[in-house]
Amino acid sequence: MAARNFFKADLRELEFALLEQFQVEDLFGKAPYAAMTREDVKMILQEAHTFVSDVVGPTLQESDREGCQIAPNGKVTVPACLKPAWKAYFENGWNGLALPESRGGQSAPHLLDMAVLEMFTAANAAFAMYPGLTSGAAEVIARMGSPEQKKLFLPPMDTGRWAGTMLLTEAQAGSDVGLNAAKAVKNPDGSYSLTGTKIFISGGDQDLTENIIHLALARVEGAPKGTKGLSLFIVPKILVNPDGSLGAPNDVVCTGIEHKMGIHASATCTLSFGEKGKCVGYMVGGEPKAGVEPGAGMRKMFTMMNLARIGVGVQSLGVASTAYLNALEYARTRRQGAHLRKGRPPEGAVPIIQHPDVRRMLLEMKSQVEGCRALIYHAIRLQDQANIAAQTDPAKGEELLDYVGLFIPLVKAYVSDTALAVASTAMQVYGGAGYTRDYPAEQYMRDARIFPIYEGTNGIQAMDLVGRKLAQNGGALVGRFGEEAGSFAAKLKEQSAWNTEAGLLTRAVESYKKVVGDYMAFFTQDKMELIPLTGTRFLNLMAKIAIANLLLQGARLAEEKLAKTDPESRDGMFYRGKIASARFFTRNILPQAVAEAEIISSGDPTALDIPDGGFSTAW
Amino acid sequence: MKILVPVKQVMDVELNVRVAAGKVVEDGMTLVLSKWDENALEAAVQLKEAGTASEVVVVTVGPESAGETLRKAMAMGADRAVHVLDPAADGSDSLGVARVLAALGAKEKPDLILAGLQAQDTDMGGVGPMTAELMGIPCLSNVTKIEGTGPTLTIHRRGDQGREVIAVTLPALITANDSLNQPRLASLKGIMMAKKKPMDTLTLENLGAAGVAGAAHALTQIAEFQPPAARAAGRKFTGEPEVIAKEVFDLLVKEAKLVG
Ligand SMILES: Cc1cc2nc3c(=O)[nH]c(=O)nc-3n(C[C@H](O)[C@H](O)[C@H](O)COP(=O)(O)OP(=O)(O)OC[C@H]3O[C@@H](n4cnc5c(N)ncnc54)[C@H](O)[C@@H]3O)c2cc1C
Ligand SMILES: Cc1cc2nc3c(=O)[nH]c(=O)nc-3n(C[C@H](O)[C@H](O)[C@H](O)COP(=O)(O)OP(=O)(O)OC[C@H]3O[C@@H](n4cnc5c(N)ncnc54)[C@H](O)[C@@H]3O)c2cc1C
Repeated sequence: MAARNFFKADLRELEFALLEQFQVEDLFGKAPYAAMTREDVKMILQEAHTFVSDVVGPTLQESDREGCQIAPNGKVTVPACLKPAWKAYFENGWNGLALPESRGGQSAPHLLDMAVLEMFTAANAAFAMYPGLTSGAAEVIARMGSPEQKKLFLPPMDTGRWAGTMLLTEAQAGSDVGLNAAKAVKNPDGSYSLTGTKIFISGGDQDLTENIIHLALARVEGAPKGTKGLSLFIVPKILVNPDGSLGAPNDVVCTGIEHKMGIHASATCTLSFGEKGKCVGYMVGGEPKAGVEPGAGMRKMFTMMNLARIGVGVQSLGVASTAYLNALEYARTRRQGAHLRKGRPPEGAVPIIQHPDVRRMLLEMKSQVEGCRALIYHAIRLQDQANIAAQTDPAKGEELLDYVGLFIPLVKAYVSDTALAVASTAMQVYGGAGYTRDYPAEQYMRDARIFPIYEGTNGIQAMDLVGRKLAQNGGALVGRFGEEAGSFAAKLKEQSAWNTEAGLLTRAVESYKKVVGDYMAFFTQDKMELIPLTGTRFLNLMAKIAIANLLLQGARLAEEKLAKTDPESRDGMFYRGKIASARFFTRNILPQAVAEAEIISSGDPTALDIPDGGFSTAW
Repeated sequence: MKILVPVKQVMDVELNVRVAAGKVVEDGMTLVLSKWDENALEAAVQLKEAGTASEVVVVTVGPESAGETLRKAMAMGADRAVHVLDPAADGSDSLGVARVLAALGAKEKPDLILAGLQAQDTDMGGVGPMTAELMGIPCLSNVTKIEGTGPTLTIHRRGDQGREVIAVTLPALITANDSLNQPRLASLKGIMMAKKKPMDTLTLENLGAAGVAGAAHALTQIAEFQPPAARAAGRKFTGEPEVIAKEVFDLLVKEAKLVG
């Protein structure tokens, strides 16, 4: 039996987001981005959709069932069906959309790239991690590597001959990266000998590519403790000769793979290096110049983190979106129960989409998915604008990047938490069928469960928001956020049709501003623990305000377009759906943010005050 | 060998189509390359890759938006495109389109014309054979396999009695069955490179075909579109088999009027 394809994407919605609301065309032709057109966008979306449906979609269940295997010699095999997908992905150039032309890419803005990435991850999140990590590692080398390193490693990574990984985590160093114990000792030839063990390494070994370029954090002998003493090393699985040909295997061994809840097709590896004392690594960028502190590894990693974290947001969005669209299809065909007013049809039961409670679930998913998409596009568009500004006005570029930084924890944490909730609601729409392996809902839930955990847990994201970003630039970033949302709400008030929404948004913004003030007070009143205690709530509050704001802007746009469209046509239906998403979110979900704000402001210390022993019977 | 591939832009038939006042509402509909044309194009590109063909030219007779379809065809490997874009051609029936293609055929002088068996929207299947007739070249429809390098090709087609194997000497016109091949996916590079490939835009007059196409010269007209009738609700019968059988039979005779 041919593998089933559950991949679904709403191309009309992607076009709306890119072309109508977030106007990707504004970014085209401004360095570093290539001149592209509206037609290019439509065609790229459509052809990417066809590719993903044909090539990646059918691998979802098959690769999950087969999973990854490790042989006694440490060699890892990934599900066989991923090999042709990997090959076709690179042959068809889909990794190259946002790559610069100098590396054989199309120099598209990241905004467009994310829309395409969303489809790949919707089709098979575990598969999409392999190319995602490869391009991430290549990007580090492209930005920070020496000219020789770029020449040696980028071409095979850009064409899918070699893959890339990120090696941060160790058993004692997860969230606490500074506890990294991997060691690097300088060799006479300038290379380093590495020893250590990394865990949870995605794609740490696989049989998709002939070589793997690991980027590993390690501490040079004598470097200070903590994150600032860490350096970043290129550690090839197989050593590479100066002419680019493959040499001897490096002293890196995969000693095990994890047996996980989801993303079964992604090999999560324990890597041990230097067991024989012969693991060779090269410092990214070569030796730091005199005067530069030796351990600039973390800073190098940090510059990459924005994109990686937005990437997890996009992964989450892709899974949430396809989960919703599958549930929608099911709700249109599954018949159960009678219509509340019209009773039973001749078929005996009505499609469950007619039940109010099912409609609630569907619109909850729809508005959350579209809201998360808007949040991500808003952030990535700012990042693209920052990159454009940086070409001519570095200060302006920095300012924009700082503001992007405020949205990063929202994109990573809110979207990943929401994706899991959406996947769960999607299963609920299926009833018992959703709990079985006949439908994809159960896999979406399992796959989506990792997103709130890796790439900085959502708890760490909340700490980043309230611990760093809140006070950054003297509080200017959170101030700007409040001003933007507030002034949009004020403008919306002038529209009588949106009075209710304008009122709800205004109220949420006011409670947000109050919380920012309360945080200052907590600090001065020596109650600083209340800030991390409520960080996740604050993150949700901000995300919901940002999303309501963006969805309402989209709805206003849809309203204008609807006035010129047959309301029963495909476009008409689409625009009416956009308006409904914004109304529903603002009326049903945003008010939860106000409740969260009230909880924060109440300064409830119970969770701090409860004695540790009080949590359990085990004390 | 030069190959001409006529292609048509059609609405994505997988989507719900709204019909209002006897017309299909186009707002928001996605337009795609008709699927049998993809098979024709794939065959042409394969002949080029095999060194048998030297050039693959795609042509469409259609509105502004049909340019996207030409670009997609070039993304899949066609070398250049001709867009016959003329308001005077609006409302052409199959014969009108065939006349325009024949005029272009006279100008381009292809050795082989590779068309789709039928268009995915109207399922007419008329344009290919009519074009061949007007050009006075042999037509082989419903082709499942093409062998040889010319000037004589061996063609497999699905006929009334099963598979027919026919030798044809070029120039000729072939219409593609969808089992002819598996059309390739457009690569990202292909999509972006297609923008740089040559595309000529011609009017009917440029082709010396003024006054042969368009609504005024159509022999057939679409009076109106109607949405397909909604499928009536099914009915489940329960009870003793003999009783059910009788009940079903009576309904087939009286209501469905299928028997009797
Ligand atoms: C499938 C999978 C793939 C992965 N891929 C990679 C990879 O490719 N490369 C890589 O380097 N790593 C990878 N990781 C590791 C991942 O990034 C870590 O699991 C993550 O950073 C969390 O670290 P930890 O598991 O040690 O949890 P811990 O750090 O032990 O966290 C446990 C809990 O404590 C909380 N916590 C910890 N510290 C704090 C704090 N200071 N304040 C508040 N709360 C805190 C966390 O939020 C979490 O809820 C992967 C993990 C998995 C499961
Ligand atoms: C693991 C497992 C064990 C089970 N064990 C048993 C067992 O031992 N014995 C047994 O008899 N059954 C058992 N079941 C069946 C289980 O009780 C049903 O799956 C459940 O009642 C839901 O029915 P359904 O799956 O047909 O979903 P549906 O009824 O099709 O529901 C689909 C969705 O539509 C909604 N919906 C349906 N009708 C309405 C309505 N009128 N108004 C509003 N919303 C509506 C539902 O809430 C749900 O979200 C089991 C199921 C599973 C998965």
